[in-house]
Amino acid sequence: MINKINYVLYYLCEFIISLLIFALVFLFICDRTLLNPNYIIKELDRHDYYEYLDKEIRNEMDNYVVQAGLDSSVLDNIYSKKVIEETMNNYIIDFYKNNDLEIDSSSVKENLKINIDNYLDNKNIQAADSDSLEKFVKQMTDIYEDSFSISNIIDKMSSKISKLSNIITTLIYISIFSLLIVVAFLKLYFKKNILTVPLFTSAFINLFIVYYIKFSIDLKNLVLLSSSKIINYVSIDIIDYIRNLSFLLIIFAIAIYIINVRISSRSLGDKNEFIK
Amino acid sequence: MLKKIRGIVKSLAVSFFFSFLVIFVVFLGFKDQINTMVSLINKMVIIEAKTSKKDIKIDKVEKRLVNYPSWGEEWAKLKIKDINLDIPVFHGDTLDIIKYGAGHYSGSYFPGEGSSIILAAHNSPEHFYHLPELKDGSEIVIEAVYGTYKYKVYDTKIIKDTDEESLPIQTDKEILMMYTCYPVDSLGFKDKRFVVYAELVSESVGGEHDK
Repeated sequence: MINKINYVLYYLCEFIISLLIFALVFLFICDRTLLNPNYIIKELDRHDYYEYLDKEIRNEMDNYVVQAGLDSSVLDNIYSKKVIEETMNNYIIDFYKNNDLEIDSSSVKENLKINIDNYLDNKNIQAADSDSLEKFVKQMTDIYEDSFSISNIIDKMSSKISKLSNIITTLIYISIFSLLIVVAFLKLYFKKNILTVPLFTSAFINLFIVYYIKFSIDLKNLVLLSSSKIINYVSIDIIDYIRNLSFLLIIFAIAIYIINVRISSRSLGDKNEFIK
Repeated sequence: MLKKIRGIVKSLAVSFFFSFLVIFVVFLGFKDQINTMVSLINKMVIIEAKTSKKDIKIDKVEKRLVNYPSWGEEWAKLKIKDINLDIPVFHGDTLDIIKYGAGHYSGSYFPGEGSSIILAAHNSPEHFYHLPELKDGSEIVIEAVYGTYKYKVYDTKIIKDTDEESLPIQTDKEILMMYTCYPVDSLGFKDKRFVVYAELVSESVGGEHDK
C-alpha cells in the first residue's frame, strides 16, 4: 500500500516539476528575448530595420515636399543612417528603462532650414509667408520624431515592461534555486531519476505551442501595429528560439537519463563487489 | 542497452501523457478564448488580393459596383480639357498613392453609384496645380474601367483643411468633389484646400478606358 502511495506521489511530483520547468522556460525565453533590449537591437540590425526606417522617413517627408511647393532635394542629407541607428537604439534602451521617450531632432531641423534657404537662394525665390515654411519644417521634424515609435500602444506599455524586466531575472534565479532544492530532496526521498520526464514534458508542451502557432497563424503576412515587417520577423525568430530550446531540453533529458542509469549501475556494481 | 532504450521509451510515454493532459485541460477550459484570439489575429493577416480589372463591373439597376478595385489600384483616367489634364485615378488617397495621380477617397462612392465621389491630388504641375482655373461649366470626364462619366462644374470653394462638412458623403445625387492643397503656388505648409464641385451630366457603361 505504501509502495502504491509512493508510486502515485512520485508521478504527481514529476507532473508538478514538469509545470515548474515549463514556467521556468517561459520566464527564461521572455528574459532573453522580448524583455531584453539587446536582443531587440540585434534583431533590428539583423533584419535591416534601420535601412527600412531611413527609407520610410524619406518617403514620408517626400509626400509633403511636393505639397509645400519645394523640391525633394531640400531633404538631402538632413540626417544620416548612422544617426537613425543610434537614435533607434537609444529609444529602445529608454523604453526598457521607462525613461522619457524623446527624440532629438534639432540637427534635422537645422539642416532642413539650411537646405530650404539654399534652395530659395538658388531659385531666386522669396517666401511670401515665413510662417508656412516654419510650419513645414515642424511637420518634417514631427515626421522624423514619430518614425521611431513602432506603435503608440507599445510605447504606453513602457512602464509595465520595465517593471517586468526588473522582476523577471530575480524570479528566474529564485525559481532555479527552489527547483534544484526540490529536485534534490525528491531524488533523495524516491531514490529515482526525477528530471527526465519533466524535461521531456516541458519540451513537448513547448513544441506543441510552437507548431500550433505556426499552423494556425500566418505570421509572415501578419500586419500588426506597424506596416514594417519587423514584428513579424521578431515573432518568427522567437518561435524558432522556443523550438530550438525545446530540442535542447530533449537532449538534456536523454543525457540526464543516461547519466542516472550509469550512476545507478555503477553503485549496483559496487554493492555486488562489496557482497562478493 | 535495451534496458536504457526501454527506460527512455517509458519516460517518453509518461511525458506524452503529461503533455496531453495539460494541453487537453487548457483546451477544455479555454477553447473558445483560444479560437477567438487566433481568428482575431488572423484577421490582421493581409494577403495581396489581385482583382482583375475585367471583374470591375457596375450593376446599373442597383447602382452599385459588383466588384471593387484593390487598394492602390488604378481604375480610371481623369480628363479635364480646360486645364489639359489627363491623369490616372487610384483607389485610396494616401500620400503614397497620390504621388502618382488622383486618389479616390475610399469612404466615398464610385462613378455611376449616384452618390458623392471624392478625389484628391497634389497641387503639383502634373496634377491639380491648375484646378483653381476651372470655372462653372467646365467639363470633367472620368473614364472608368466599367464606363465613362461626364460631369459639369457648378461650384468651387476654398475651405480649411479640417472642414469635412464641405465634402459631404450623401446618396441623393451623384456629385464629384475634387480637392487639392491651396494656395497652389505658395511655399510651405498649407492649411487650406481648393474644392471643385461637379454634377453628373451623362454616362455610358461598358468598355475599358484607353491607357
